[in-house]
Formats: sequence, C-alpha cells, structure tokens
Amino acid sequence: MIEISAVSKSYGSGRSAVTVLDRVSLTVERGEIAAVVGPSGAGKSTLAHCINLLVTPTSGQILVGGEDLTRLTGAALRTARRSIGTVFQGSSLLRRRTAAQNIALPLEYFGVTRAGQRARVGELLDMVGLADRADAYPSELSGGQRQRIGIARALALRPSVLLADEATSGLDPATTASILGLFKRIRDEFDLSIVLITHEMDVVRETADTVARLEGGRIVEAGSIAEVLTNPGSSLARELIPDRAHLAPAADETAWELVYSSAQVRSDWLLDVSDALNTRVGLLSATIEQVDGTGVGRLVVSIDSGLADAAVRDALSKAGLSGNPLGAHKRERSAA
Amino acid sequence: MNTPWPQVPALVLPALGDTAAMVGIVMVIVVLLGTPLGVLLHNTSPLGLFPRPAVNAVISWIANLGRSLPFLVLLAAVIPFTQFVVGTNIGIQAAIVPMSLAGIPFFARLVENAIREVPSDITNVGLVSGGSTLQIIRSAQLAEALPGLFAGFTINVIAMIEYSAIAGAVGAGGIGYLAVNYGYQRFDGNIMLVCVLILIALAQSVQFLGDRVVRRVSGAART
Repeated sequence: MIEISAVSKSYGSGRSAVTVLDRVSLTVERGEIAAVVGPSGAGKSTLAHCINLLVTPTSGQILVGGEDLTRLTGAALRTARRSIGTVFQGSSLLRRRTAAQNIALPLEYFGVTRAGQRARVGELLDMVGLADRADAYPSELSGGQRQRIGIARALALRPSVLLADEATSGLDPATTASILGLFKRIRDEFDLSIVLITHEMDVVRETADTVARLEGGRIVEAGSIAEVLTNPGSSLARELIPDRAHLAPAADETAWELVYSSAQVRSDWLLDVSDALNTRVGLLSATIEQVDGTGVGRLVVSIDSGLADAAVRDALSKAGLSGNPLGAHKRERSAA
Repeated sequence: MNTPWPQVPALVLPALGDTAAMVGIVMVIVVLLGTPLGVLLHNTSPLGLFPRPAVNAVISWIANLGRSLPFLVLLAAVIPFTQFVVGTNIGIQAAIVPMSLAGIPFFARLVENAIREVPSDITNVGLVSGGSTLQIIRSAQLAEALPGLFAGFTINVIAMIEYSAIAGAVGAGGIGYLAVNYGYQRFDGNIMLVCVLILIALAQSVQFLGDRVVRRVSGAART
C-alpha cells in the first residue's frame, strides 16, 4: 500500500516560486489500481517523480508500508526506490542491452548472482509472455513487447508498488488493451498497489478501481470509478463516459439526465418511476457500463414538463436514481 | 629537386612510428582523464545525476581554456610546464604534454555530448532500478553512449594526428617533423608529397575503422 499524504512541490523561492503540486493526497491499497488523470501541465509527471522518489517533495510524505520515503538519502534512498517499480512512457529500454539484460538491470544493481539473475529474468519473461524474445534488442521488438519488457524490469525486485507513467501512451488500442490486461493480472498475482498516471480515459475506465483528477496541482475530484460515475455533477464522469447525443424530447416534455448504479437500482426501474409519477417516461439515450461487475447507467429520459421538478426528483430517488433536468444544465454549460 | 629516394623508407618508417607512438600514448592519457572529466561535465549540469552549477561552471571553464588556444600557441606557452613534467622540451615526451593538455578537454566535451544524447529517461531508469551513481554512470550512461564515445574517440585520434604534426614542426619527430625539415626547409616537394599522402591515408583509415566500430557497437541498437 502507498499513502501519498499532503505532498506539495514548488520550484524556486519567494515571489517567483511556482507550486506544481499543492497538498496532494492519495491512498492506494494493496491490490488496487488507482488512476491519476488530468490535463497536461496539471502536475502529473511531477507527482510521478515524487512517487518514484526521483524528486523530493517540498512538503508532505510518501509512505510505503508505513515508512516515509521522502526524507531518505544515499543508500537508504536507493533501497527505498526498490520497493517502487516504475514503468516509463515508451518503455525506456537500454538500447544496447537485450530484453533479458534490460530486465536484469535492477538485479545487477542489487548484486544478485549471475545464476540468480538468470532464474529471475526467466520467470519474468515467462510472466510477460516473451520467453522466446530474451535475446532480442529493443529495436527488434514491437512497442507492446518493449513495454512488456519494461513492466518485467519494473517488477524484477518484487516491489509492492508499481507506478505506470503514461505507460500506454503511443500504443495502438489492441496493444493498450493487452498491456492493461497484464497490469490487472500482475495486480492480482502479486497483490500490488498500481498507480496509473495517464491522460487516456479508456485506460481508466477499463482498468482502474479508483480515479483522481489532478488540475493545477490539486486533486479536484477523486473516488472509486463507480462513485464518480454515479455522481451526477461529476465532470470526471462526463470524461469517462462522454455525453451521447440524445433524441429531442417532445414539446411538452423535459429531458432529464440520470445516473444510477445497478447495485442500488432494479433493472425495471423505468416502470417503477413511470408508475410513481403516473406518467410515461421516455428513453432518449442510454449507456450502461460494466464497472467492477456492477452496471453504471447514464441516460437521458423525457418526462412530462407539467410535473414539478421536486416531485420527479422524489420519485427518482425512491427508485435509487439521481438526476437533473437537462435544459437548465445545458444552458449553464453553454454559458460557461 | 634532389630527393634522396633510397633513404626515404628509412626516414618515413621511423617517423610513422613516432607519430603512432605520440598519438597512442596521448590517446591513452586523453581517454583516462578526459572520460571522467566528461562524465563530471554532464552530471554536474542541470541534466546530470548530481547537479552542481558552481562545480560545473569551473570544470566547464577549465575545459574551454584547454580548447581556446590554437595548438601551436599552447605548445609554446606550456614549455616551462612541459620541462617541469617530463624534464625536456624536445622530442616525443615533450610533445605528449601539450597534446594531452589539448586532447583531454576536447575528449571531455565529446564524452559530455555523447552522454547527453542518451535519453534522460535512461538515467531515471537507472535511478528507479536502485543503481548507485557509479553503477548508473557505467551501465546506463557510458554503456548506452558507446557508439557516440567511439565516434568521439575517432574524431579525437584524427585531431591528435594533426597536433602531432604541429608538434613535429618544433622538434617532436614524426611525420610532421619530416614534412617540415625535408619537405619545407630543404624544398623537397617529393618528401612533402609523401608526408601529405601518409597523413591523408592515416586520417582516412582511422575514420574508416572508427565508423566500422561505431556501426558494430550500435548494430542492434539502431531504431
């Protein structure tokens, strides 16, 4: 487990100081995949460098297994770094070393014997499915294969935390999917805490258990994927599942945007709500995503404009849904 | 022209040997001292493993100092120092001192450049893999920069052949000495031509060999 506690980083001093991270806190349990998203310049890569101890935070703590790693120096820092594996963007393999020699690098640094290195590298190559490419140079590997080698190298010293810094950027969708599958598999197998720093929302939706949005150096929204998706006001939810175009409601009807989780809502809720309001609820657009085995629905329905908003909300919340009339929301957004 | 043709091999071969000895000894010194200096230049810079702006400025200034004088001026200017180090100011030993003084900072800059060409993420890979500073310098920086280092070495050898000829002109022996004493002072155009051809052949073959080595070490690394 890794606990990032009120980590701030600023560069420069006095008036010209620039704060890149502002009291960022994030906890990733064992066996959990946490995604950190945000626009470029939000501080994602500085956060990544704080997590893998390449950068010392100005204040705050990074606790792995209860120990604060930010104040370590010298040999203690080198040892601490071994508990955090990093997968880099574009894999960053050493070009003059074979796949096997790349994976062996942390083992060499650690002083593992030749025989020990060979055994561990063999295991890791098997794990990432590239045993037959042991002697290939990075230039002879595909992007996805290089990234698998990068992952194997990051796991060489059996870290408890894995940091993936834009690890799937630049890979095609099929390769991205297979790399994400590998992350899930190693998470399950080694009970790792995985931090995914990414700008790709597909990656978050498909892989992460929790998500945090970094903006201007602060975490502006965070929670489990299901929580975020069922929060009607969430802008992160809107990025994760982009709004679909919906049919126009009839003249005497209002469009309502609804979100729900199948854990709290029966699948025939549409009838329940129609009965409760004694009207017919029409469907204008709907998406139901599977997240961690539960369905998260985001949809737009049409409801008789004659009904009071409060009455509609009441009926919706009785059925376990939350929602807002869309007209008002749309106006706000276009004004903004 | 009264070229003493029968004596030419006896003149040229030892001269060639002298040039090779000067360049060889100088290159050993240059690599031994220039490499650490280049590693320091890179790693004390903001991009390096242990940024120290003040130290970097000092080393950088020293490295520039060695390269700012035309070699002939440097050669003459350091004669007292040469005398102090090797006890003489003529001959091969005397040439080695100014040649090393010029070659070390030159090679240091080439090493610095070669390391800078290695993507900075590679140094980060070394750090997050738990490497010590020395381990990272050796296996991540220098090993990855090897093609660049060999290319730099080749350039440096050719520069040292040139410097050895200049040193030859002031009595250090070698092909340069031959060219100046026989070719220039005795107006023997044929000897001059032989010297020129030898120098061209030397530079070309060093470059040819250097290119082959660079290709060999970057072989599998081409992307």
